Amino acid sequence: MKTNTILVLMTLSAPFATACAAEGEGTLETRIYGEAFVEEGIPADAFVDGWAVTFSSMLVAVDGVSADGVEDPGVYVFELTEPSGGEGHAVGTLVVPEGPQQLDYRIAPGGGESLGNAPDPDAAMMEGMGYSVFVAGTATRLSETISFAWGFDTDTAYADCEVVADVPADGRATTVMTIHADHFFYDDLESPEPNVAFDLVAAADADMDGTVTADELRAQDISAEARYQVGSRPIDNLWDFIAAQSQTLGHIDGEGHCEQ
Amino acid sequence: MRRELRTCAVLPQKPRALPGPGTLPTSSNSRLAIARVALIAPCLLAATVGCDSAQAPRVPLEVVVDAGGITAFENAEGYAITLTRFRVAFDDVEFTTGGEMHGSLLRRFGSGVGELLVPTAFAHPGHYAGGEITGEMTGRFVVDWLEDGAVLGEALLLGTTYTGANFVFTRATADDGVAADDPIIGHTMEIAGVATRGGESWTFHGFVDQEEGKRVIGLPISEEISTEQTEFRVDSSSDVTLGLQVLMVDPFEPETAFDGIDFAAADGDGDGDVELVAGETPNNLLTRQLQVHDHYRVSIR
Repeated sequence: MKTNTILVLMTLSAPFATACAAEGEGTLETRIYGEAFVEEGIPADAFVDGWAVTFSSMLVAVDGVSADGVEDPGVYVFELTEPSGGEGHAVGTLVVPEGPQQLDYRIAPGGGESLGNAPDPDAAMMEGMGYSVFVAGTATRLSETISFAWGFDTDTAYADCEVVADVPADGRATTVMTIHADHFFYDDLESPEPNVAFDLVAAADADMDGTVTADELRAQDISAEARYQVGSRPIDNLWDFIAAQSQTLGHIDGEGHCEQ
Repeated sequence: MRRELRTCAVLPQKPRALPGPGTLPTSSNSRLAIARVALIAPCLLAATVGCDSAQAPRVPLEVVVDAGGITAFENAEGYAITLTRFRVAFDDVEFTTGGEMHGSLLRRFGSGVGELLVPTAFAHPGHYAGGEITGEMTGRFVVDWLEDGAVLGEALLLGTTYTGANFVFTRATADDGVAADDPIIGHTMEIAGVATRGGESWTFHGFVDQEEGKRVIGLPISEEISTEQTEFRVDSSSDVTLGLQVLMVDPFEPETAFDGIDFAAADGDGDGDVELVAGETPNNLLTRQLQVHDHYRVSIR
Protein backbone atom coordinates (compact mmCIF):
# COMPACT_ATOMS: atom_id res chain seq x y z
CA MET A 1 0.00 0.00 0.00
CA LYS A 2 2.70 2.39 1.04
CA THR A 3 4.74 1.46 -2.03
CA ASN A 4 1.76 2.13 -4.29
CA THR A 5 1.24 5.54 -2.74
CA ILE A 6 4.84 6.45 -3.35
CA LEU A 7 4.61 5.28 -6.94
CA VAL A 8 1.48 7.35 -7.51
CA LEU A 9 3.11 10.41 -6.03
CA MET A 10 6.20 9.91 -8.13
CA THR A 11 4.10 9.55 -11.24
CA LEU A 12 2.10 12.67 -10.49
CA SER A 13 5.15 14.72 -9.66
CA ALA A 14 7.22 13.60 -12.62
CA PRO A 15 6.00 16.30 -15.01
CA PHE A 16 6.85 19.00 -12.50
CA ALA A 17 10.26 17.56 -11.82
CA THR A 18 10.87 17.40 -15.56
CA ALA A 19 9.74 20.97 -15.99
CA CYS A 20 12.21 22.18 -13.37
CA ALA A 21 15.07 20.18 -14.80
CA ALA A 22 14.32 21.35 -18.31
CA GLU A 23 15.01 25.06 -17.65
CA GLY A 24 16.79 26.24 -20.74
CA GLU A 25 20.21 27.67 -21.08
CA GLY A 26 21.66 29.96 -23.64
CA THR A 27 24.84 31.81 -24.43
CA LEU A 28 25.52 35.40 -23.51
CA GLU A 29 28.20 36.87 -25.72
CA THR A 30 30.05 39.74 -24.08
CA ARG A 31 31.68 42.58 -25.98
CA ILE A 32 33.34 45.84 -25.03
CA TYR A 33 33.04 49.09 -26.92
CA GLY A 34 34.31 52.63 -26.54
CA GLU A 35 31.80 53.93 -29.06
CA ALA A 36 32.52 56.53 -31.70
CA PHE A 37 33.82 58.87 -29.03
CA VAL A 38 36.84 56.62 -28.53
CA GLU A 39 37.25 55.22 -32.03
CA GLU A 40 36.72 58.49 -33.88
CA GLY A 41 36.99 61.18 -31.23
CA ILE A 42 34.79 63.51 -29.24
CA PRO A 43 33.72 66.34 -31.51
CA ALA A 44 33.74 70.01 -30.61
CA ASP A 45 29.98 70.17 -30.41
CA ALA A 46 30.08 67.83 -27.43
CA PHE A 47 32.27 70.25 -25.50
CA VAL A 48 30.97 73.48 -24.01
CA ASP A 49 34.24 75.28 -24.67
CA GLY A 50 34.95 74.40 -28.26
CA TRP A 51 37.63 71.78 -27.79
CA ALA A 52 37.62 68.47 -29.64
CA VAL A 53 39.47 65.35 -28.52
CA THR A 54 40.86 62.41 -30.41
CA PHE A 55 42.33 59.39 -28.68
CA SER A 56 45.51 57.70 -29.82
CA SER A 57 45.09 55.03 -27.17
CA MET A 58 42.54 53.97 -24.63
CA LEU A 59 43.42 50.79 -22.81
CA VAL A 60 41.16 49.19 -20.24
CA ALA A 61 41.91 46.15 -18.08
CA VAL A 62 38.79 44.08 -17.52
CA ASP A 63 38.14 41.00 -15.44
CA GLY A 64 35.42 39.43 -13.35
CA VAL A 65 32.94 39.35 -16.21
CA SER A 66 30.03 37.32 -14.90
CA ALA A 67 26.30 36.82 -15.08
CA ASP A 68 24.04 34.72 -12.93
CA GLY A 69 27.00 33.38 -10.99
CA VAL A 70 28.79 32.20 -14.12
CA GLU A 71 32.15 33.91 -14.37
CA ASP A 72 34.48 34.32 -17.28
CA PRO A 73 37.91 33.64 -15.75
CA GLY A 74 39.64 35.77 -18.35
CA VAL A 75 41.71 38.83 -17.59
CA TYR A 76 41.60 41.17 -20.55
CA VAL A 77 43.28 44.30 -21.79
CA PHE A 78 41.52 46.03 -24.66
CA GLU A 79 42.66 48.82 -26.93
CA LEU A 80 39.36 50.55 -27.52
CA THR A 81 40.59 52.93 -30.21
CA GLU A 82 40.84 50.00 -32.62
CA PRO A 83 37.98 50.32 -35.12
CA SER A 84 35.26 47.80 -34.47
CA GLY A 85 32.70 48.75 -37.09
CA GLY A 86 30.29 49.79 -34.37
CA GLU A 87 30.21 46.30 -32.91
CA GLY A 88 32.77 46.59 -30.16
CA HIS A 89 35.34 43.91 -29.45
CA ALA A 90 34.53 40.33 -28.49
CA VAL A 91 35.32 39.52 -24.88
CA GLY A 92 33.93 36.05 -24.17
CA THR A 93 30.85 33.94 -23.72
CA LEU A 94 28.88 32.83 -20.70
CA VAL A 95 26.45 29.92 -20.64
CA VAL A 96 23.61 31.16 -18.48
CA PRO A 97 19.99 30.29 -17.75
CA GLU A 98 17.57 31.64 -20.30
CA GLY A 99 15.91 34.96 -19.57
CA PRO A 100 17.00 38.43 -18.45
CA GLN A 101 20.54 38.88 -17.24
CA GLN A 102 22.56 41.20 -15.08
CA LEU A 103 26.20 41.48 -15.92
CA ASP A 104 28.99 42.24 -13.49
CA TYR A 105 32.45 43.30 -14.51
CA ARG A 106 35.46 44.98 -13.06
CA ILE A 107 37.89 47.50 -14.46
CA ALA A 108 40.96 47.07 -12.33
CA PRO A 109 44.69 46.66 -12.62
CA GLY A 110 45.17 43.29 -14.24
CA GLY A 111 47.86 40.72 -13.86
CA GLY A 112 49.35 37.67 -15.51
CA GLU A 113 48.64 36.66 -19.06
CA SER A 114 46.07 39.02 -20.45
CA LEU A 115 43.59 38.33 -23.21
CA GLY A 116 41.99 41.00 -25.34
CA ASN A 117 43.05 42.90 -28.42
CA ALA A 118 45.75 45.08 -26.87
CA PRO A 119 49.23 44.56 -28.28
CA ASP A 120 51.46 42.61 -25.91
CA PRO A 121 53.69 45.57 -25.06
CA ASP A 122 50.65 47.63 -24.12
CA ALA A 123 49.20 44.85 -22.00
CA ALA A 124 52.58 44.46 -20.33
CA MET A 125 52.72 48.19 -19.71
CA MET A 126 49.27 48.10 -18.07
CA GLU A 127 50.35 45.26 -15.82
CA GLY A 128 53.73 46.73 -15.07
CA MET A 129 52.39 50.16 -14.22
CA GLY A 130 49.43 48.78 -12.32
CA TYR A 131 46.96 50.62 -14.51
CA SER A 132 43.31 49.80 -14.97
CA VAL A 133 42.77 52.55 -17.53
CA PHE A 134 45.23 54.34 -19.76
CA VAL A 135 44.17 57.12 -22.06
CA ALA A 136 46.23 59.19 -24.45
CA GLY A 137 45.18 61.69 -27.03
CA THR A 138 45.08 65.24 -28.27
CA ALA A 139 42.69 68.08 -27.69
CA THR A 140 42.43 70.79 -30.29
CA ARG A 141 40.69 74.14 -30.56
CA LEU A 142 41.53 76.32 -33.53
CA SER A 143 45.31 76.68 -33.36
CA GLU A 144 45.63 75.28 -29.82
CA THR A 145 46.75 71.71 -29.27
CA ILE A 146 47.11 69.94 -25.95
CA SER A 147 48.31 66.35 -25.60
CA PHE A 148 47.75 64.05 -22.68
CA ALA A 149 48.70 60.51 -21.60
CA TRP A 150 47.26 59.47 -18.27
CA GLY A 151 47.23 56.13 -16.46
CA PHE A 152 44.85 55.34 -13.61
CA ASP A 153 45.18 52.61 -11.00
CA THR A 154 41.53 52.75 -9.98
CA ASP A 155 39.70 49.56 -9.13
CA THR A 156 36.01 49.72 -9.98
CA ALA A 157 33.41 46.98 -9.83
CA TYR A 158 30.42 47.53 -12.08
CA ALA A 159 27.59 45.38 -10.76
CA ASP A 160 24.04 44.46 -11.68
CA CYS A 161 24.29 45.97 -15.15
CA GLU A 162 20.91 45.34 -16.77
CA VAL A 163 21.48 43.51 -20.04
CA VAL A 164 19.02 44.70 -22.67
CA ALA A 165 18.53 41.40 -24.48
CA ASP A 166 17.12 38.30 -22.81
CA VAL A 167 19.08 35.14 -23.41
CA PRO A 168 16.93 32.63 -25.32
CA ALA A 169 17.00 28.93 -24.52
CA ASP A 170 19.52 27.25 -26.80
CA GLY A 171 20.22 30.59 -28.40
CA ARG A 172 22.55 33.56 -28.10
CA ALA A 173 22.27 37.13 -26.95
CA THR A 174 24.91 39.83 -26.94
CA THR A 175 25.69 42.44 -24.36
CA VAL A 176 28.20 45.25 -24.66
CA MET A 177 30.25 46.73 -21.84
CA THR A 178 30.15 50.31 -23.01
CA ILE A 179 32.92 52.68 -22.00
CA HIS A 180 32.02 56.38 -21.97
CA ALA A 181 35.23 58.29 -22.60
CA ASP A 182 33.57 61.69 -22.40
CA HIS A 183 33.30 61.21 -18.63
CA PHE A 184 37.00 62.02 -18.38
CA PHE A 185 36.04 65.58 -19.25
CA TYR A 186 32.88 65.95 -17.19
CA ASP A 187 32.99 69.06 -15.02
CA ASP A 188 30.95 67.78 -12.09
CA LEU A 189 31.13 64.60 -10.06
CA GLU A 190 27.51 64.68 -8.96
CA SER A 191 25.44 66.62 -11.42
CA PRO A 192 23.11 64.57 -13.61
CA GLU A 193 23.84 67.02 -16.38
CA PRO A 194 27.52 67.90 -16.29
CA ASN A 195 29.26 69.73 -19.07
CA VAL A 196 31.98 68.17 -21.16
CA ALA A 197 34.79 70.67 -20.87
CA PHE A 198 38.52 70.94 -21.46
CA ASP A 199 39.45 74.55 -20.63
CA LEU A 200 40.57 73.79 -17.09
CA VAL A 201 42.61 70.80 -18.24
CA ALA A 202 44.30 72.98 -20.83
CA ALA A 203 44.92 75.64 -18.21
CA ALA A 204 46.79 73.09 -16.13
CA ASP A 205 49.62 73.05 -18.67
CA ALA A 206 51.83 75.09 -16.38
CA ASP A 207 55.03 74.75 -18.40
CA MET A 208 53.11 75.47 -21.61
CA ASP A 209 54.81 72.64 -23.45
CA GLY A 210 51.57 71.47 -25.02
CA THR A 211 51.28 68.40 -22.82
CA VAL A 212 49.24 68.18 -19.63
CA THR A 213 50.75 65.70 -17.23
CA ALA A 214 49.35 64.05 -14.13
CA ASP A 215 51.57 66.24 -11.96
CA GLU A 216 50.28 69.36 -13.64
CA LEU A 217 46.72 68.22 -13.03
CA ARG A 218 47.55 67.55 -9.38
CA ALA A 219 48.82 71.11 -9.13
CA GLN A 220 45.56 72.47 -10.54
CA ASP A 221 43.53 73.42 -7.47
CA ILE A 222 39.81 73.11 -8.12
CA SER A 223 38.59 74.18 -4.69
CA ALA A 224 37.63 77.67 -5.83
CA GLU A 225 36.15 76.62 -9.16
CA ALA A 226 32.48 77.31 -9.74
CA ARG A 227 32.24 74.06 -11.66
CA TYR A 228 34.09 70.84 -10.80
CA GLN A 229 31.89 70.24 -7.76
CA VAL A 230 32.70 67.13 -5.76
CA GLY A 231 29.98 66.88 -3.09
CA SER A 232 31.40 65.45 0.10
CA ARG A 233 34.47 63.89 -1.49
CA PRO A 234 37.78 65.27 -0.27
CA ILE A 235 38.97 66.11 -3.75
CA ASP A 236 40.68 69.43 -4.34
CA ASN A 237 42.80 68.96 -7.47
CA LEU A 238 42.07 68.16 -11.07
CA TRP A 239 43.98 64.87 -11.19
CA ASP A 240 41.99 63.38 -8.34
CA PHE A 241 38.82 64.72 -9.96
CA ILE A 242 39.57 63.02 -13.28
CA ALA A 243 40.64 59.84 -11.50
CA ALA A 244 37.26 59.82 -9.77
CA GLN A 245 35.57 60.33 -13.14
CA SER A 246 37.55 57.36 -14.47
CA GLN A 247 35.47 55.24 -12.11
CA THR A 248 32.29 56.22 -13.91
CA LEU A 249 33.24 55.08 -17.41
CA GLY A 250 31.56 51.68 -17.38
CA HIS A 251 28.03 51.20 -18.65
CA ILE A 252 26.06 48.45 -20.33
CA ASP A 253 24.52 48.24 -23.79
CA GLY A 254 25.05 51.89 -24.54
CA GLU A 255 23.46 54.06 -21.91
CA GLY A 256 22.60 51.40 -19.32
CA HIS A 257 23.88 51.97 -15.82
CA CYS A 258 25.43 49.66 -13.32
CA GLU A 259 25.70 49.73 -9.55
CA GLN A 260 29.08 50.36 -8.03
CA MET B 1 27.25 56.27 -33.12
CA ARG B 2 26.03 59.06 -30.95
CA ARG B 3 27.26 62.57 -31.18
CA GLU B 4 24.98 64.26 -28.72
CA LEU B 5 26.05 65.28 -25.27
CA ARG B 6 25.20 62.62 -22.78
CA THR B 7 23.69 63.26 -19.41
CA CYS B 8 24.66 60.22 -17.45
CA ALA B 9 26.90 61.17 -14.58
CA VAL B 10 27.29 58.40 -12.06
CA LEU B 11 26.71 59.18 -8.45
CA PRO B 12 28.80 56.73 -6.46
CA GLN B 13 27.12 57.72 -3.22
CA LYS B 14 23.57 57.43 -4.44
CA PRO B 15 21.25 55.67 -2.06
CA ARG B 16 20.36 52.21 -3.23
CA ALA B 17 16.66 52.75 -2.90
CA LEU B 18 16.57 55.61 -5.34
CA PRO B 19 16.55 55.66 -9.12
CA GLY B 20 19.78 55.30 -11.02
CA PRO B 21 22.08 58.16 -11.89
CA GLY B 22 20.34 58.89 -15.14
CA THR B 23 17.27 59.82 -13.17
CA LEU B 24 19.03 61.50 -10.30
CA PRO B 25 16.21 63.22 -8.47
CA THR B 26 15.57 66.84 -9.11
CA SER B 27 13.21 68.58 -6.82
CA SER B 28 10.22 67.28 -8.71
CA ASN B 29 11.16 63.72 -9.45
CA SER B 30 12.63 63.45 -5.99
CA ARG B 31 9.10 63.39 -4.71
CA LEU B 32 8.37 60.49 -6.99
CA ALA B 33 11.39 58.72 -5.63
CA ILE B 34 10.30 59.42 -2.09
CA ALA B 35 6.85 58.13 -2.85
CA ARG B 36 8.35 54.92 -4.12
CA VAL B 37 10.56 54.73 -1.09
CA ALA B 38 7.58 55.23 1.18
CA LEU B 39 5.96 52.27 -0.45
CA ILE B 40 8.95 49.98 -0.38
CA ALA B 41 10.54 51.11 2.85
CA PRO B 42 8.71 48.57 4.98
CA CYS B 43 9.89 45.84 2.63
CA LEU B 44 13.42 47.13 2.79
CA LEU B 45 13.26 47.21 6.53
CA ALA B 46 11.93 43.71 6.63
CA ALA B 47 14.77 42.58 4.45
CA THR B 48 17.23 44.42 6.60
CA VAL B 49 16.10 43.35 10.01
CA GLY B 50 14.53 40.08 9.05
CA CYS B 51 11.18 40.66 10.66
CA ASP B 52 7.63 41.29 9.61
CA SER B 53 7.50 44.86 8.45
CA ALA B 54 3.96 45.15 9.73
CA GLN B 55 5.39 44.87 13.23
CA ALA B 56 7.82 47.75 12.80
CA PRO B 57 6.39 50.74 14.60
CA ARG B 58 6.02 53.96 12.70
CA VAL B 59 7.30 56.64 14.98
CA PRO B 60 6.52 60.33 14.40
CA LEU B 61 9.29 62.61 15.65
CA GLU B 62 9.37 66.37 15.54
CA VAL B 63 12.21 67.93 13.59
CA VAL B 64 13.49 71.37 14.53
CA VAL B 65 16.26 73.75 13.59
CA ASP B 66 19.32 73.24 15.76
CA ALA B 67 21.46 76.37 15.81
CA GLY B 68 24.03 74.80 18.09
CA GLY B 69 26.53 74.45 15.26
CA ILE B 70 26.47 78.13 14.36
CA THR B 71 28.88 79.59 16.83
CA ALA B 72 31.53 82.26 16.45
CA PHE B 73 34.54 80.67 14.85
CA GLU B 74 37.84 81.50 13.20
CA ASN B 75 38.60 80.49 9.67
CA ALA B 76 41.96 79.35 8.32
CA GLU B 77 42.82 82.92 7.32
CA GLY B 78 42.48 84.08 10.91
CA TYR B 79 39.17 85.92 10.67
CA ALA B 80 36.85 85.70 13.66
CA ILE B 81 33.48 85.15 12.05
CA THR B 82 30.00 85.57 13.45
CA LEU B 83 26.99 84.78 11.29
CA THR B 84 24.02 87.10 11.49
CA ARG B 85 21.98 85.33 8.84
CA PHE B 86 22.05 81.86 7.38
CA ARG B 87 18.97 80.79 5.49
CA VAL B 88 18.86 77.63 3.42
CA ALA B 89 16.30 76.16 1.02
CA PHE B 90 16.07 72.38 0.96
CA ASP B 91 13.55 69.60 0.70
CA ASP B 92 12.94 65.97 1.53
CA VAL B 93 14.93 64.94 4.57
CA GLU B 94 15.54 61.19 4.61
CA PHE B 95 16.68 59.03 7.47
CA THR B 96 18.65 55.89 6.73
CA THR B 97 19.67 52.66 8.32
CA GLY B 98 22.67 50.57 7.41
CA GLY B 99 24.77 51.78 4.55
CA GLU B 100 28.49 51.92 4.34
CA MET B 101 30.83 54.00 6.36
CA HIS B 102 33.74 55.43 4.49
CA GLY B 103 36.03 52.71 5.75
CA SER B 104 33.98 50.18 3.84
CA LEU B 105 34.40 52.15 0.68
CA LEU B 106 38.13 52.01 1.21
CA ARG B 107 38.06 48.26 1.25
CA ARG B 108 35.78 48.08 -1.74
CA PHE B 109 37.71 50.39 -3.97
CA GLY B 110 41.10 49.00 -3.08
CA SER B 111 44.26 50.97 -3.34
CA GLY B 112 43.36 53.36 -6.11
CA VAL B 113 41.02 56.28 -5.86
CA GLY B 114 39.40 54.54 -2.93
CA GLU B 115 42.17 55.83 -0.72
CA LEU B 116 41.67 59.18 -2.25
CA LEU B 117 38.01 59.13 -1.39
CA VAL B 118 38.41 58.16 2.21
CA PRO B 119 41.51 59.63 3.78
CA THR B 120 39.42 61.01 6.61
CA ALA B 121 37.42 57.87 7.20
CA PHE B 122 38.41 57.57 10.80
CA ALA B 123 38.56 61.28 11.48
CA HIS B 124 34.92 61.59 10.44
CA PRO B 125 32.87 58.94 12.16
CA GLY B 126 29.25 58.48 11.36
CA HIS B 127 29.08 59.30 7.69
CA TYR B 128 27.20 56.30 6.38
CA ALA B 129 26.30 56.45 2.71
CA GLY B 130 23.92 54.32 0.73
CA GLY B 131 21.77 53.02 3.55
CA GLU B 132 18.15 52.08 3.20
CA ILE B 133 15.68 54.93 3.64
CA THR B 134 13.34 54.03 6.49
CA GLY B 135 12.29 57.47 7.61
CA GLU B 136 11.43 60.74 5.95
CA MET B 137 10.17 64.25 6.35
CA THR B 138 8.90 65.37 3.01
CA GLY B 139 8.24 68.91 1.95
CA ARG B 140 10.07 72.08 1.07
CA PHE B 141 11.78 74.19 3.67
CA VAL B 142 13.38 77.60 3.79
CA VAL B 143 15.16 77.53 7.11
CA ASP B 144 16.64 80.32 9.14
CA TRP B 145 19.40 78.33 10.77
CA LEU B 146 19.90 80.86 13.53
CA GLU B 147 16.35 80.32 14.76
CA ASP B 148 17.08 77.56 17.21
CA GLY B 149 14.11 75.33 17.95
CA ALA B 150 11.99 76.46 15.02
CA VAL B 151 9.78 73.56 14.08
CA LEU B 152 10.33 72.19 10.59
CA GLY B 153 7.81 69.43 10.71
CA GLU B 154 7.30 65.86 11.68
CA ALA B 155 9.35 62.99 10.39
CA LEU B 156 7.90 59.52 10.19
CA LEU B 157 10.44 56.84 11.00
CA LEU B 158 10.15 53.09 11.14
CA GLY B 159 11.46 51.62 14.34
CA THR B 160 15.05 50.62 13.73
CA THR B 161 18.59 51.84 14.31
CA TYR B 162 19.43 54.91 12.27
CA THR B 163 22.91 55.61 11.00
CA GLY B 164 22.42 58.63 8.79
CA ALA B 165 20.32 61.21 7.06
CA ASN B 166 20.19 62.92 3.69
CA PHE B 167 18.63 66.07 2.38
CA VAL B 168 18.27 67.77 -0.96
CA PHE B 169 19.21 71.33 -1.82
CA THR B 170 16.70 73.35 -3.78
CA ARG B 171 16.07 76.98 -4.71
CA ALA B 172 13.58 79.01 -2.73
CA THR B 173 10.34 79.94 -4.44
CA ALA B 174 7.49 82.26 -3.61
CA ASP B 175 5.47 79.19 -2.64
CA ASP B 176 7.84 78.36 0.19
CA GLY B 177 6.26 80.69 2.71
CA VAL B 178 8.57 83.59 2.10
CA ALA B 179 7.52 87.06 1.02
CA ALA B 180 7.05 87.54 -2.68
CA ASP B 181 9.90 90.02 -2.73
CA ASP B 182 12.21 88.04 -0.45
CA PRO B 183 15.62 88.15 -2.09
CA ILE B 184 16.30 84.50 -1.30
CA ILE B 185 13.82 83.50 -3.98
CA GLY B 186 15.77 81.74 -6.71
CA HIS B 187 18.66 80.98 -4.40
CA THR B 188 19.67 78.12 -2.13
CA MET B 189 21.33 80.04 0.69
CA GLU B 190 21.52 83.54 2.01
CA ILE B 191 24.42 84.13 4.33
CA ALA B 192 25.59 87.22 6.17
CA GLY B 193 27.79 88.10 9.10
CA VAL B 194 30.77 89.93 10.44
CA ALA B 195 34.43 88.99 10.07
CA THR B 196 37.09 90.55 12.24
CA ARG B 197 40.87 90.36 12.08
CA GLY B 198 43.56 92.59 13.53
CA GLY B 199 41.08 95.10 14.86
CA GLU B 200 39.36 95.55 11.51
CA SER B 201 35.88 94.32 10.72
CA TRP B 202 34.06 93.49 7.55
CA THR B 203 30.39 92.81 7.13
CA PHE B 204 29.60 90.30 4.44
CA HIS B 205 26.55 89.05 2.63
CA GLY B 206 25.89 86.76 -0.27
CA PHE B 207 23.64 84.25 -1.93
CA VAL B 208 25.06 80.78 -2.42
CA ASP B 209 23.45 78.54 -4.99
CA GLN B 210 23.69 74.79 -5.03
CA GLU B 211 22.56 72.83 -8.04
CA GLU B 212 18.85 72.11 -7.82
CA GLY B 213 18.46 68.58 -6.51
CA LYS B 214 21.98 68.19 -5.17
CA ARG B 215 21.85 65.69 -2.37
CA VAL B 216 23.84 65.86 0.82
CA ILE B 217 24.21 62.25 1.81
CA GLY B 218 25.40 60.70 5.02
CA LEU B 219 24.71 63.20 7.79
CA PRO B 220 25.60 61.60 11.11
CA ILE B 221 22.71 61.07 13.49
CA SER B 222 23.58 60.78 17.14
CA GLU B 223 23.01 62.27 20.55
CA GLU B 224 26.53 63.63 20.75
CA ILE B 225 29.32 64.39 18.35
CA SER B 226 31.75 61.64 19.14
CA THR B 227 33.94 59.05 17.57
CA GLU B 228 32.12 56.33 19.42
CA GLN B 229 28.46 57.11 18.88
CA THR B 230 27.41 56.89 15.26
CA GLU B 231 23.84 55.66 15.39
CA PHE B 232 20.52 56.23 17.04
CA ARG B 233 17.82 53.76 17.91
CA VAL B 234 14.19 54.65 17.25
CA ASP B 235 11.39 52.57 18.70
CA SER B 236 7.82 53.06 19.80
CA SER B 237 8.94 54.53 23.10
CA SER B 238 11.12 57.19 21.49
CA ASP B 239 10.17 60.62 22.76
CA VAL B 240 12.81 62.93 21.37
CA THR B 241 13.11 65.79 18.97
CA LEU B 242 15.47 65.63 16.03
CA GLY B 243 17.56 68.71 15.37
CA LEU B 244 18.87 69.56 11.94
CA GLN B 245 22.22 71.15 12.55
CA VAL B 246 24.76 72.92 10.39
CA LEU B 247 28.33 72.96 11.67
CA MET B 248 30.45 75.91 10.71
CA VAL B 249 33.46 74.14 12.19
CA ASP B 250 34.27 70.56 11.26
CA PRO B 251 34.10 68.76 14.63
CA PHE B 252 36.91 66.38 13.78
CA GLU B 253 39.32 68.41 11.69
CA PRO B 254 40.53 72.00 11.93
CA GLU B 255 38.43 73.13 8.98
CA THR B 256 35.60 75.61 8.69
CA ALA B 257 33.00 76.34 6.05
CA PHE B 258 34.71 79.71 5.45
CA ASP B 259 38.26 78.50 4.95
CA GLY B 260 40.02 80.18 2.08
CA ILE B 261 38.01 83.38 2.29
CA ASP B 262 40.13 86.49 2.80
CA PHE B 263 37.69 89.29 3.52
CA ALA B 264 40.27 92.04 3.24
CA ALA B 265 41.25 90.83 -0.21
CA ALA B 266 37.61 90.53 -1.20
CA ASP B 267 36.86 94.10 -0.12
CA GLY B 268 37.95 95.71 -3.34
CA ASP B 269 36.67 99.21 -2.55
CA GLY B 270 37.81 99.09 1.06
CA ASP B 271 34.44 100.12 2.47
CA GLY B 272 34.28 97.27 4.92
CA ASP B 273 31.31 95.63 3.19
CA VAL B 274 31.90 92.48 1.20
CA GLU B 275 29.31 91.07 -1.16
CA LEU B 276 30.01 87.42 -1.88
CA VAL B 277 29.21 87.49 -5.56
CA ALA B 278 28.30 84.33 -7.46
CA GLY B 279 31.14 83.11 -9.64
CA GLU B 280 33.84 84.78 -7.58
CA THR B 281 36.29 82.83 -5.47
CA PRO B 282 34.79 83.46 -1.99
CA ASN B 283 31.34 82.45 -3.20
CA ASN B 284 32.73 79.42 -5.02
CA LEU B 285 34.51 78.30 -1.86
CA LEU B 286 31.34 78.60 0.18
CA THR B 287 29.34 76.75 -2.44
CA ARG B 288 31.76 73.85 -2.34
CA GLN B 289 32.30 73.74 1.39
CA LEU B 290 28.64 74.02 2.30
CA GLN B 291 27.74 70.96 0.25
CA VAL B 292 30.04 68.70 2.27
CA HIS B 293 28.27 66.41 4.71
CA ASP B 294 30.94 67.10 7.33
CA HIS B 295 29.15 70.40 7.98
CA TYR B 296 25.77 68.90 8.83
CA ARG B 297 24.37 66.47 11.35
CA VAL B 298 21.16 65.40 13.01
CA SER B 299 21.14 65.97 16.75
CA ILE B 300 18.91 64.35 19.32
CA ARG B 301 17.25 66.84 21.65
